[in-house]
Amino acid sequence: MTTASTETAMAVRMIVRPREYFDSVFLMRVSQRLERAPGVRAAAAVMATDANKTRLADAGLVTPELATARADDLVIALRAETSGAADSALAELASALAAPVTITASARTIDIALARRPDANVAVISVPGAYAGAEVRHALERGLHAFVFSGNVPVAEERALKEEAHRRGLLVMGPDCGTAIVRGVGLGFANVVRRGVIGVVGGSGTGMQEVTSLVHNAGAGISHALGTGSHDASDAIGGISTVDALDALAADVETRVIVLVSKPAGPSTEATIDAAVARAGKPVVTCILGDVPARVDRAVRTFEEAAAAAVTIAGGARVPIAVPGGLDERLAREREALAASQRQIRGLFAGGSFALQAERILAEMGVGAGARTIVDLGTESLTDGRPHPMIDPRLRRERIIEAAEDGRVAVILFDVVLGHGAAPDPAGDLAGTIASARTKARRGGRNVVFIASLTGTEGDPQGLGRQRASLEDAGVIVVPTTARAARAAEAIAGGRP
Amino acid sequence: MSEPLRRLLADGPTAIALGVREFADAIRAQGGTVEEVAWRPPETVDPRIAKLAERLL
Repeated sequence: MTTASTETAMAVRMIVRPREYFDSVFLMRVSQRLERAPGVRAAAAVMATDANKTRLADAGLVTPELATARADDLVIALRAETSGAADSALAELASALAAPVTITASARTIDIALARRPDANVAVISVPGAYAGAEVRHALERGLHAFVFSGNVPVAEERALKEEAHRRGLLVMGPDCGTAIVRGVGLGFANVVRRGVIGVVGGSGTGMQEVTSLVHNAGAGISHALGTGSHDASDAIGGISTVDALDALAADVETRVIVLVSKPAGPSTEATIDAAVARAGKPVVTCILGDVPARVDRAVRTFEEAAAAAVTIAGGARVPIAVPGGLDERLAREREALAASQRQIRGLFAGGSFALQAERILAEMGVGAGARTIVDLGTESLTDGRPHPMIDPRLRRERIIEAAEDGRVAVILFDVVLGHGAAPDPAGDLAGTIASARTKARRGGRNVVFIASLTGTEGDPQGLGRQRASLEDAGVIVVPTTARAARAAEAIAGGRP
Repeated sequence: MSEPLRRLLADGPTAIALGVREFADAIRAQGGTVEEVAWRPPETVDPRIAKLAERLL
């Protein structure tokens, strides 16, 4: 263990623990615990990957030891008001890091786990991207399907893994796969939805979550939802998992309607996927994100439309989407209250699919590129070495404050996504930041409007109603779909002179 | 549909989980079956030791 101290205006401490590994979510909790210690201004517990070293430097949490730390070393860094405060916080560290010993798992490899559970059929892999490919290959060699949450796997490696899986009759869901539901059991981020006859396939994780939640909230249900990973429809991968998943749901007797939710396919992959849609032999609703023409029958433009179409085709009585009362009047009031400088919409999304959909809708409604900035906070470059923003609110909190301090911003548009795997209280995680952001904006003579799309079901661990109430208590306009959230933002900030 | 995929859809997932512990907990919370791997990055081999081992073998 190495300890260093650099005294400037504050005390900076760093501990490097060589070859000590903890997952990014556990380390997020350690960081949050250190940050709550008296006198601590900033803290980070991370693996010393290059991306995390850069973030530590950006945060001013650097001592000379950082330069020689390796990617498999644990780094704990903090900045405190006094040396005493820094030392006290670090004294807490031993107990914070002791928590993982309560983990009951003692299997160190897939092989040992498989010996204990020989009936296992899928590996759920969320290790750092640099190691994920090897674990996926190992899983495939043992006859396991793979759900790969890990991102930052090279596309050439992804292609090779998917070709190998296809040869073996196995499915690789991912890499960079957010969600799957197999026979009612969610993998990764997944909402609690009833079983039914609608199957979903796609490389758009949060898009699939919105579709499956809306299907449930409309009174229908999901047979299976098979994620394919964000790169699958690209020409580099060739849609291997998308086609295998479509063929599987086409043959599945419990699935009567399929929804395909995808980013735009590469030019040569498009025909391959279209062929799989055409041979499905059952209705396929396609929702392709981005500015692409509808290529096939039953093509829709939004996740909301996809869910509605699937429920209608499935033949169920559809429960209408609940829209908050007096919404139009509220939007008009908020528009009136904007300062002259406020013309921009700032989108701060945890879901990449939501970001893409909002971007397209705003563009189609005439909101110019200079009047909208839509950020996908869950993109692989921002999640390298740290948890996804559906788990870790810290990056979004920073961006909310930045946006509120920008005198041009009229609307902050964001998503709150519930379900297993997501943060226990995502609305609560942001409520305090929203209050601070409002205060900052008011000091500048402005009122910033917050609009959230809320994705989930009442059965989710966080509870749809509780999360909606928490957001509304924070003054947020809450709408049930991303498309409606984007349109509400346009109603407030669009076309301002 | 391949036989392994047919079985996955028919039987549901029985998982082996590597990485973020919350994903294994989530499967358990849904009544699913999961065996957790206490995953760590593989040990990095010192290139000098690797070379020596290569010579010995």
